[in-house]
Amino acid sequence: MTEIHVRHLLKRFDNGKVGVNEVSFEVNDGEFVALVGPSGCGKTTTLRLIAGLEPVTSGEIRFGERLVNEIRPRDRNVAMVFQDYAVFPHLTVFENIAYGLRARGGYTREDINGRVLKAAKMFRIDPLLKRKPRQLSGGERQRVALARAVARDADVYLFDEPLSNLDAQLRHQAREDIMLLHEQKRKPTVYVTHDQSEAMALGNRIAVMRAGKLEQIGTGQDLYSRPTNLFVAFFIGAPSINLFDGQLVADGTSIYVDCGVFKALLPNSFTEKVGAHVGKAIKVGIRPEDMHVPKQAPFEVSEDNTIKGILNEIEPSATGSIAYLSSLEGERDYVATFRIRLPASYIGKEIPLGINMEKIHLFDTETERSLLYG
Amino acid sequence: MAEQTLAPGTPVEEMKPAAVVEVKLTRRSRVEKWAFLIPALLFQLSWGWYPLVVAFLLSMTDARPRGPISWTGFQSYSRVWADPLVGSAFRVTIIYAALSIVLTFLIPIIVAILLMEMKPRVMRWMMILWFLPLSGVASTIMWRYVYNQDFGFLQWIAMDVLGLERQGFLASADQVLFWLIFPGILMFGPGLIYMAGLQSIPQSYYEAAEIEGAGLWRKIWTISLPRIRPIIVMMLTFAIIGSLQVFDWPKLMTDGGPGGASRTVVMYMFDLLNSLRYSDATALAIFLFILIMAITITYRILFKEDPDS
Repeated sequence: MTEIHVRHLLKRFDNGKVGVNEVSFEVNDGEFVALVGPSGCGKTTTLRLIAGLEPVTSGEIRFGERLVNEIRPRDRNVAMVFQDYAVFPHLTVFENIAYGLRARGGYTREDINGRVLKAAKMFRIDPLLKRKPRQLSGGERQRVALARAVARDADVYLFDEPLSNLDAQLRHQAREDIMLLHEQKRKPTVYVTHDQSEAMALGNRIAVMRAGKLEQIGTGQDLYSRPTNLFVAFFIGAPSINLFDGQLVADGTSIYVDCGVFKALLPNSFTEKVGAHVGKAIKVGIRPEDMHVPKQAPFEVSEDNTIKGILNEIEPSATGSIAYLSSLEGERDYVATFRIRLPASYIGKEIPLGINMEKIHLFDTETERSLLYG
Repeated sequence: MAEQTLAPGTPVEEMKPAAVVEVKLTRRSRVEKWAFLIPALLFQLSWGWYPLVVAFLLSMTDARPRGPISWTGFQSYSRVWADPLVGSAFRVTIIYAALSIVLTFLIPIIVAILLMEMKPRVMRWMMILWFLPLSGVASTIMWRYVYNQDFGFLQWIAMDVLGLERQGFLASADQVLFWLIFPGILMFGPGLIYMAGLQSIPQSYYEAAEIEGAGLWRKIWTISLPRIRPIIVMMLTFAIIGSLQVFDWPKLMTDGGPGGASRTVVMYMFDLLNSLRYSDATALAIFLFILIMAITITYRILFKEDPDS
């Protein structure tokens, strides 16, 4: 039984730059946490700190009760899959998979053979055991790296963007292979990626990082529907959330969101949370899927929740269509997604869309914190 | 590129890729190919093969500074073959080559690998020190003082520190070849080449090995050495060829002494040229050429090129 506890983790590089700034999170036993963020946000550094490949400046990393800060990587008993796979080119597939077993010792010859064969079978590379990496495709090499990680019983599994060098078709299969590895081992796993959709697909929970800081950690659903700040709201979800500058306006007991482009009534349940911001500038976020064609909206569409704009372009998507619109005044562009196919004849016309105000996001312009979920 | 056309309804087995078809060079690209090759070929012919051919022709004559030159066939070869000094020169050369490779070839590899483990700053300084343009002649003459029998540093160590008898060093026929090796290591050129090779190994190999539980020794044995193997093979070729042609260190430090105990083949060749025996000198050169070729070819057969590098 191991969990990963990361507490107040700080990494300052030799050049004084802070790569990871006061990051704290836990990965429970058997949990798969995806660490996601734009490049340079410190996600890979965090992973390398957990692996022990970089020394910690301050803070704590514990595996279960064991403080591992000062423990060498080889003694932490972690397994890691690298972005470039780090499959040794001069060793056969068999030798590559057996590398960790040989290096650690304590395995009999039969045990090594058995484990290597089992790991290779799991990732369908058992016919390739005698080959050298040079003779393998990128996808096969990646599976060798997975097999090497699975052959040994590590306490913690780490992945550093393992899919970024694969083409789209292989990526899907590789995701399944990684899930297979995780289900087999059921150990705490940290998976670094810059691709939010990959993180959503794989992670039990997702940790979003920006500029060395952990912005939010939670399930994909949490991050998507209750982002605590503007960055997370914008980073999670594709197409990205639509953002409008606006302010909160009180009219009797009702509070309106006024963005110029549209003016909409806030549901009563939100009024208490936003009361202090009435009259102040805010940023308003609306997910593309929360704008509906009036006739098909799951709520009543009225003057109080409608945004009007010209439809510029329609792009068919796997689940329906993506509409690109711009507002009548100020030409603010925004995006809406529908579960239906819009007829092309609508292009160039003015379209009113109903906003699902229950799912709206409001952010403080200064602090970028969410007024509703922050 | 030949384009493959298939009639509709062609069976699948017949739809083989057309990639195997050799692309024919157009006249233009043939001309271009030769235009690029000719300068290199001319260079190789004039500075590489011409002296070789002339030396070979010269060795079959009674060439001398003045007077008519006539064809003598293999006379100079049999004369050189029978010369007892030639046999001794080959013996000296082979002993020197074997000693220097066995004792010194591994040193720069080990030093380079260990240096890679040091901090980048230390490493950079070491590389700069290796790059210092040392004069080979000057440092060799320095070594002559180190080896001096009367006031040399080594004699001081031998007598005053270790309490041994007075040593001969370069003046001893038994020791001279051993001591001649060391000035050669001072030039750490190979170390730089190994370090460049080591630096090109992706860091992730070492990190993966570390995480998989490998210690320093295993990382060196399973990553560093296999990765620089092609460089080692190449450097060993150069070391063998270079040590069989050794001339400058014995020439500067002992001039072949004592009593020919350090007279190498190239030094003897030099002596023959100085005494105007051109055909004998070139015949000796051909013998050395044959020996080096034979060793190099055997060696290349033993160490095949590694396709994984």
